[in-house]
Amino acid sequence: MADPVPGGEGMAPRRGWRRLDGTMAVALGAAALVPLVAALGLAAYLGWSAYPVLREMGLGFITSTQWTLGNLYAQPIHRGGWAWMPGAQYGAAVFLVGTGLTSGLALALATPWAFLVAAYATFGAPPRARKLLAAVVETMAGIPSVVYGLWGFLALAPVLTRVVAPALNRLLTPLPFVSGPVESETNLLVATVVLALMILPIEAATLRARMERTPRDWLDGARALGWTQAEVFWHLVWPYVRTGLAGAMLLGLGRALGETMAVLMVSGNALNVLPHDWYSPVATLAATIAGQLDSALTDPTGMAVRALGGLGLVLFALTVVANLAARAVAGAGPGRRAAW
Amino acid sequence: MKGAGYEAPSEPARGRRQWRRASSALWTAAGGVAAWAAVTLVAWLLADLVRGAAPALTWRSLVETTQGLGGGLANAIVGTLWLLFWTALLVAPVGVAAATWGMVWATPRLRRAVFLASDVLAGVPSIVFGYVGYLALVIGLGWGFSALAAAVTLAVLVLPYLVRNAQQALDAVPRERQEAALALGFSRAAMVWYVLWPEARGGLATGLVLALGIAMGETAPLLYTAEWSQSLPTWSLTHHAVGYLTYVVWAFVQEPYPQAVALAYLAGLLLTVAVGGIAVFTRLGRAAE
Repeated sequence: MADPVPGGEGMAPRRGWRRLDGTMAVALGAAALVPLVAALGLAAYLGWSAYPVLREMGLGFITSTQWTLGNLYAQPIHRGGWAWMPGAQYGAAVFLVGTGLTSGLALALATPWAFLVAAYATFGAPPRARKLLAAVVETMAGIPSVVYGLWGFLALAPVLTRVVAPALNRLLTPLPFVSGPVESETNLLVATVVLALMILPIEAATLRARMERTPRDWLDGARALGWTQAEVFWHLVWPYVRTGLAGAMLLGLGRALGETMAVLMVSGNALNVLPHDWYSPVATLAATIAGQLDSALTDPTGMAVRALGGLGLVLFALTVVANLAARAVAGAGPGRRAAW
Repeated sequence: MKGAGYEAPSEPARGRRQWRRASSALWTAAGGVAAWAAVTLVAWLLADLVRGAAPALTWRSLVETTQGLGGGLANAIVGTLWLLFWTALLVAPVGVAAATWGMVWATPRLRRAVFLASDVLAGVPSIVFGYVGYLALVIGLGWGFSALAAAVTLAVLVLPYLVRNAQQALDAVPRERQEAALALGFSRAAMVWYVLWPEARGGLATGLVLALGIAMGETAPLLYTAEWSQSLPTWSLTHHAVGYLTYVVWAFVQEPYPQAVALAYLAGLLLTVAVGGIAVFTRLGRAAE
């Protein structure tokens, strides 16, 4: 086919573009493969790294609460073709429980909170307060994890453990889990509150996007009929939100499960002990990888580092499942920024 | 009418007037309390940052390098920018290319696959990038603690965000312009070069800045790739550790010395202001379009 574009116009493509088309398709197509290759590569690397530990520990990797590098001064022994330190044990149960508790409680706190914030910001608040709330929620979404950790550790944790925790204890004392001795300033309670603040903007933005889809005319019509704010919300808006609630929660969960720095700074990082109440120090999968890599590097057999890779593999699987589920339910992936 | 699973609206109960009024007031009050609780906590956080950073808020903190647990943040500020520069250089071509291929060349099914893979990558926790970056790049490839290892790790981490943002920017270009170019006999490559990219330029730039904003706030992927350095970054991209702001926040917070804690607060304040600045900047850019 002859080149139908007349040349000499400056902007008009020259004949060479026709040949370039194939080259460009291949080059850009290769770039499009990078996210897939990176995701598969990360999973494969974690699996390869953790393989000897997972094989040796078996189900114990999930069920055991003991995480010790063994006797680092002894001569390495050989188990299954790999060198181990005598007494080394890698059980992730404490971190799995810690991750489940911090994420679950943060979600339980953040979801109704985000729901109310979104509803108020969309329908209840005066116009100027709406703008302020939008700015605040966007600010919350943008604050780096480590800054939440800084504030949580230095400002929030002392207040929560010295003022709020004793008050809660006095109020709830005979009840299990929610009452008990406050042993350390960094604990499950502080981690819950900090995590809840971090996932609040994600959930609120997702829910608000749903609420915005209620047809204007319906709202105006209902108000003209004399419906109150609450009636308008629960009878007209709620059906639009309901289907988005699970998606918002799953997106929040995906974020909470993988949160590293803030949790590392406020959770207490307890090894080998399961939390017994809301005031116990806990450790999560993500925070343990970051916090224990230094000491794991002192293991001359390298097994401790591989065991952390096992934690990473479990974490990878959990977050990918949560995010894919969110995507399937809400059609919103984590790649989309929490824009208000 | 619209939306999955939407049922016809139910009638509100025709209860007594007091009950209707009270329930509505309660509903609005609950929303107000929830909203103002969030506002209060964020205000507390920001006020605490400013209060804590105040003792370190001097000119010297910005121009001097870190000495032990004191000194200034010049090395961390320059290091952060240095890492962001290389991250941008690595991620921008790949992210824009991937989104462009997904929008122009891919069949609908492949397009979905590209953006699905990107979403999966976006969900991977940052510490996983740090762990693999350390073992594969720092140790495996022997780059040592270095700007290159850190920038590659960060680039892969923010790639899915850029792919998403770029896809939205490209999607915003009117379909008619692209079709007009193709109808005039432009090859797809020429259409992309002369129509799609120029039209989407602003959106693509915004997307890149947003992605870099995410990179700037990351700590976990850098702890074991860039590690930490008290001196300004050097020109060598391998075997030279780099300082960065998030490290100061994480490491200095736990020190018992007030000047170290003040520096941590100052680093946190600078990060928060920068991220806020990016949000305002992109919002203005979007409003101007």
